[in-house]
Amino acid sequence: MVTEIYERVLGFLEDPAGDRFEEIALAVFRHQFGGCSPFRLYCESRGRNPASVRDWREIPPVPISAFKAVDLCCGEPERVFLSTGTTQGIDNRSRHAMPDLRLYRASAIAGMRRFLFPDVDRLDLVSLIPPVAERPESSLAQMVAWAGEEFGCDGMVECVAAGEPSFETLVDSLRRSERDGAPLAILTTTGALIHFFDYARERSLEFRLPHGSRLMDTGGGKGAPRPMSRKGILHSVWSLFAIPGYFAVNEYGMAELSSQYYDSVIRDRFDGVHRGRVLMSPAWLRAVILDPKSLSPLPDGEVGLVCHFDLANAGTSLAVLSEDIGTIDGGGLRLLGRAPRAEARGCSISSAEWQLA
Amino acid sequence: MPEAEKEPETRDELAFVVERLVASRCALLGRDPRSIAAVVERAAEQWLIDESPWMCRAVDALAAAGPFSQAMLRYALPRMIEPLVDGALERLIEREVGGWSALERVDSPTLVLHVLPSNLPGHAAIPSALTLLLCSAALLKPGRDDRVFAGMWIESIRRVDADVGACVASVYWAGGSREVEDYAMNAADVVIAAGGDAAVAALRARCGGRFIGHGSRLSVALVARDSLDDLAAAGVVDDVAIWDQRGCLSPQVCFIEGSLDDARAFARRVQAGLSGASEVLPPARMEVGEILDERRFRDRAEWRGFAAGETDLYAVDGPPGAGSIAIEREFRLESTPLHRCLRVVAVDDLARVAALLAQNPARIEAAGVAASPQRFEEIAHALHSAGLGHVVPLGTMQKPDLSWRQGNRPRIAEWCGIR
Repeated sequence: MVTEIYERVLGFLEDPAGDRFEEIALAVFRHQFGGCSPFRLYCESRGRNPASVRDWREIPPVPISAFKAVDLCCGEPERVFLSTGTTQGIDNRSRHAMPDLRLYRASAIAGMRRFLFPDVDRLDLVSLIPPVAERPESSLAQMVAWAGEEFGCDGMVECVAAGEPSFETLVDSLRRSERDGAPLAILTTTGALIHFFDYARERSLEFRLPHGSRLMDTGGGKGAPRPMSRKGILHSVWSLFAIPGYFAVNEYGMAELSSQYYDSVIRDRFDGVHRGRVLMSPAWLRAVILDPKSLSPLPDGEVGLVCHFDLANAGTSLAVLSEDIGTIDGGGLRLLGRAPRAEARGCSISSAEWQLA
Repeated sequence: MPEAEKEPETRDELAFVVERLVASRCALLGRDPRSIAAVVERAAEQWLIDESPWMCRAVDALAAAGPFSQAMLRYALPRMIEPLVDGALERLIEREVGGWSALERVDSPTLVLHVLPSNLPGHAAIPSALTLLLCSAALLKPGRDDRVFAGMWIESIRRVDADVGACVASVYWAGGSREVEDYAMNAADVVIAAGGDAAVAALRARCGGRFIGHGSRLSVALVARDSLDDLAAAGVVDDVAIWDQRGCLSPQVCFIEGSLDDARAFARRVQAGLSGASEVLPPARMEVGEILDERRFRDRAEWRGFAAGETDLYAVDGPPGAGSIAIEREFRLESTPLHRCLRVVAVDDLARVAALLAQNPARIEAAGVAASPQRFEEIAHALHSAGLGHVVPLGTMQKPDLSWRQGNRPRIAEWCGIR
């Protein structure tokens, strides 16, 4: 029974044609309601159950803070991933316990194929993301490892060792690509990329990568030496690597999800679509914008909390309420930042936490 | 009805106000401070009479300008003024200075700048009254949402005695007006500031003279095993609901002596009480960030309960801020997002709480205790020994009189160097 629903989702990930999202989402909800006791208690507290939920948007979204309190896993976890803890500290990390890793792998690979590599089977890959051997708890590290297996000509050139970036290794790969005329894909955190901008500027380095080279960055400003706008990043990617904006993709993912959003630019170019840069998701991941106060859905164009419905989370939590603010615009998702926290007021200590234990 | 002085845009505009204050203060120097106390007390009484025009207008104006409802303001604003009547000023002078005659030998500051916090309205009353008592002039910089009250309060003093009223001015300026702020900080002999830690620290760094800062603190409630009843719950509800915990005298953590089941039973009593309170004292309007903080607080407790198959959250149905009670399984002190969010911690013996608070007494403002008379004395003694200055019966935490030493400090002795 358990594998049946996962097989059904895997089938949709492999062939997402047809309007099956709702039907599968409701089946996944039934599975999670029956297979995850904390989730069932949560749904019951909201008066929701498989009999009352008729639309996938009615599935109660799980706040990401729930992943800090409980393993939302329908069965024994095969693998547990942790968030970075950037926002609330290392001791307050989300745990995403997955009972069937195939779902994450299939979703991640299909997403990359659709949005990063729609035009190529394989190419040289280089990564500024800590490798999975060093960070086995990182879902991003695992995704990059799978990228190397599926899309790398010769696996993945790792440019991080013992937690530290090895920019010399990256420079070697970039020079090799220039010399051989073989396009290169750079996978990096945004923070490491900005560090490399500074490293290259200090050394007056510049690269002219061959056409078809591309860059994927992710993770927002975590670990960055300074803030940079998306426009500034794209400008620097062009001037430093000669990678044009339409081959520079920002990925948006969360440890609590099994699927990712990507800038639409490579896919749009491949499909001959002309529009502005928006975050697109595969067919099995949908975003709904909710009113921050009431948590009721908002129409397209309005700004609110981003709620994700990810079928690849079939073994954990299909509906995840993030703390990101965004809007659905131009057919895709636009992220506008993190949900606000209250301004500290007056003489009574508020969210600026301090503890005695 | 007068409001605060026009917002000064330049140093010269503020200098004009300061020079006027200092000149007016000369009229106080020859006066018997008892007469000044009488003026202040008379003004305060005008605010506290039934259907006081001052109070009615202030409630209307503050409800329009800030987050609090008229019902909350009618209930809570008088508490900001009540400490000034019934001879309380004389008792304060006796306690801190040694009596009226001793006051003649005090070297009073010419000008005291009070940077008032923005958490609650009505902060202007007591500091200005106490400053006048020292025959000093008071320059008040009220919080953003409290500009109306300060101006009205000063006018009410003027109506009683124009000379005394002329020694107080309320001047609001938005943060960031460096030239104006620097002038104000340096024109005053003493700067007294209350607010968030960061804001107080920033002001302290810029102050050239004497600076007294009151940073962020929190308060706790303690309920003894013999008092886990509706009366104690009602006390918690009152202390939590008034001003929606924005004041540092509101408890954010309630330690109950008993088991987790006892904690849950007590939380249900508080939940019921807060539910009723939200009808009578509607919660303040909340900004999006505040609503999300409240939801995070609820989510964390609720999911911890789901994980254990138990209930760890007792939320009040109603608008945001109506009330949220979280059962904490760990014995520790952790603040809440305010807005009637309360942590309930079960402990086998309340004596352990004193030991916990003793780890950082400088961050604890007050404790409200519900216990039989004998236990109350025992608990209060332990808390005083742990460094807490303000220990009162639960349900009265939000009614401090002038004997409350904010931050464990004397009210006025420190302003003029008397300890």
